Amino acid sequence: MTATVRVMRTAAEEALLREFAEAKDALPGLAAKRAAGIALFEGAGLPHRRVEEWKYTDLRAILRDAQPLAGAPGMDDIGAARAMPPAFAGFKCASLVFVNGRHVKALDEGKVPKGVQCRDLHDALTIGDRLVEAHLGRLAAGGSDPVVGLNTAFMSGGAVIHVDPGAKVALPLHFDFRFAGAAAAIYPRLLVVVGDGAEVTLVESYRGLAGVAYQYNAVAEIVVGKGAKLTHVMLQAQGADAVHLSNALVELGAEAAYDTFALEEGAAVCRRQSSIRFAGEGSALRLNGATLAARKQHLDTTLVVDHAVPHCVSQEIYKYVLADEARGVFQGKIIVRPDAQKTDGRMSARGLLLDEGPEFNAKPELEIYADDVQCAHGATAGELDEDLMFYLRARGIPEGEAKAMLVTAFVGEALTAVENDAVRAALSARIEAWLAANLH
Amino acid sequence: MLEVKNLHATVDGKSILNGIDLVVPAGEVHAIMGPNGSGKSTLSYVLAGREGYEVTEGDVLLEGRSILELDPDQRATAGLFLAFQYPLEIPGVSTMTFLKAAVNAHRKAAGLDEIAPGDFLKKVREVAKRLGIADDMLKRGLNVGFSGGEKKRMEILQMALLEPKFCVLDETDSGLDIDALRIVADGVNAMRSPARGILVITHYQRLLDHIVPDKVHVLTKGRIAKTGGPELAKELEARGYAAFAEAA
Repeated sequence: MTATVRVMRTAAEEALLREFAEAKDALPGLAAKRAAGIALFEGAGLPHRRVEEWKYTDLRAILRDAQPLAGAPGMDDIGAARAMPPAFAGFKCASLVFVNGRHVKALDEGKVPKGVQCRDLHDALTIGDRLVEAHLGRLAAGGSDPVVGLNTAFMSGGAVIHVDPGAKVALPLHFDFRFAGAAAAIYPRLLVVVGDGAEVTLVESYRGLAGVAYQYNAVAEIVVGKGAKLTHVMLQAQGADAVHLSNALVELGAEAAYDTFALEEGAAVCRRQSSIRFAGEGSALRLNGATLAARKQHLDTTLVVDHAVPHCVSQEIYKYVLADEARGVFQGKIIVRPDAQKTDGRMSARGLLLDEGPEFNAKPELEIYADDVQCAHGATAGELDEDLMFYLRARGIPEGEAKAMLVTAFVGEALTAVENDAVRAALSARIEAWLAANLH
Repeated sequence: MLEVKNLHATVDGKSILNGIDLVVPAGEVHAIMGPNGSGKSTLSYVLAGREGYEVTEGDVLLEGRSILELDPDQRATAGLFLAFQYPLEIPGVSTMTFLKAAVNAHRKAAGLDEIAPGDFLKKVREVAKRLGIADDMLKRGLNVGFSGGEKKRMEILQMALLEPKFCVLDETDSGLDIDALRIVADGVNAMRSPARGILVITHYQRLLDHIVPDKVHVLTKGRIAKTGGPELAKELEARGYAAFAEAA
């Protein structure tokens, strides 16, 4: 008689496995990678609080039900998505619009600029694509994250973007993900390959309507070539009842620059992971973000910066503004490998609590295996400075406006990673709008 | 203009002001002098409405109207200006943004439209030039990295732009060298007007060589112990505060 170990699965885990069994033959391409993805998930299950990296965000408890896989959007969904206001005001860009994870060409705006090739991922997977074969799943390979595994298993929409070597692309590219319709699960994937010496700005935005408990699990794999410069802006403004999971897996070539800023303000629960690996010497990373959370929102940013080679610089500045009973989570790990001498890594996470109710959990970590490096991290949490408030009010500035000025200044430091004035102004406008709605 | 009547105030339950009576008419400059711990800064904060300073008795009237129920910003737009002893640094808020917000808050309270950007810039540059404030300082975060003297000049710049009815200057001379003191004093003297009252709070007599007051009040133990003309300041400098402490 053999003893069998029975793994207890939650209803959501069972449902996800069942869903894959039923859907796998209809999913486009990459059967082996999908099977490996679901196997990863099947082995680990949904991550829970006893897994160290997930101790603040117990996904198994949060995802009680797995929503059904979203199909191609219907006319009503597209109509509702079309009616949504623009994600940003005031800057010109070429927009690719995705509804419920699928590219809807009819909603696109502007022309994809010269030097950039964009392809719908669903088409690329169905017909076959050189970049997909070379890169898709490469950065995720060897990983142990079941959330990434789920995306690999189910991915069907998204885009493949290639920027020609040496192309200096001035017009930002906007990947505008909108959700509309009945509750569903969406697994978009972006594959971005920035050629050597190219320069480009990518903007991702994720939005949807409140009142629907939809689930997003997005993965972006980004390869930045030698001497290339990528500016990457992310807006997470999902509907108030959504769960948003995302992973950015980034590989930086030599002498590359990667400037990124993420604004988190939507969803009931969000876990955003970024994993950046320095693969060539002399590169610079600015990995910044701002999280604005109110009500009972739970917004988690988890970063891993892997200095695998010498002579690279990384900087992370994260600002959390928390109101009501919101919870902000920041986990940041800087790894400096034994050969990565002359690494300069600095990480700071600061929380501003606007009420008595919110909670800020910060866990910065340094894992340093080289001896000639400069690394620092810091995390603080506090309330608005009363002395500063009094100073502003003593000049006639009313309480609400004084608060907004101080909070804007607090968040502003993180925005410095965005050099494009128009894009930065559009982000500032979103931050201002949030403050106007949530400062009281 | 400003009337302080039998003002009592406590901080953290500790009684600091013990019945101050003071009247500063429009067009006059009064000085309050007193030793450390006499309640000078407490008086300035109570006038400006800082939280944590509790008035237990008495009243403060500006143009005949009690201001004690007003919030700090309402007191400011009602015409009261406090020049801080220690002006604060606010990184991330540019000096220009701050000045504009303050000016527009005053205009809004007066029922006026926002100031035209061109007019505002012209006005700021004009006053800044008079006070020796460089353009570059106006672009930086408010008071960030400014020297003590630069911060005090910035206070005077704000005062000049906001055109208050009544100014309270809290130890404006502290941390200033002679040259900076003269610039600041000239800035204050330029504000003297028949329609405006000014209260200068100071520990030392030297500021009063440059801003000559109409009256000098000696504050000890939270009360006005003596009132006199400008010569009283000289007498204090010569004899020290101890003699007055006895009298109080």
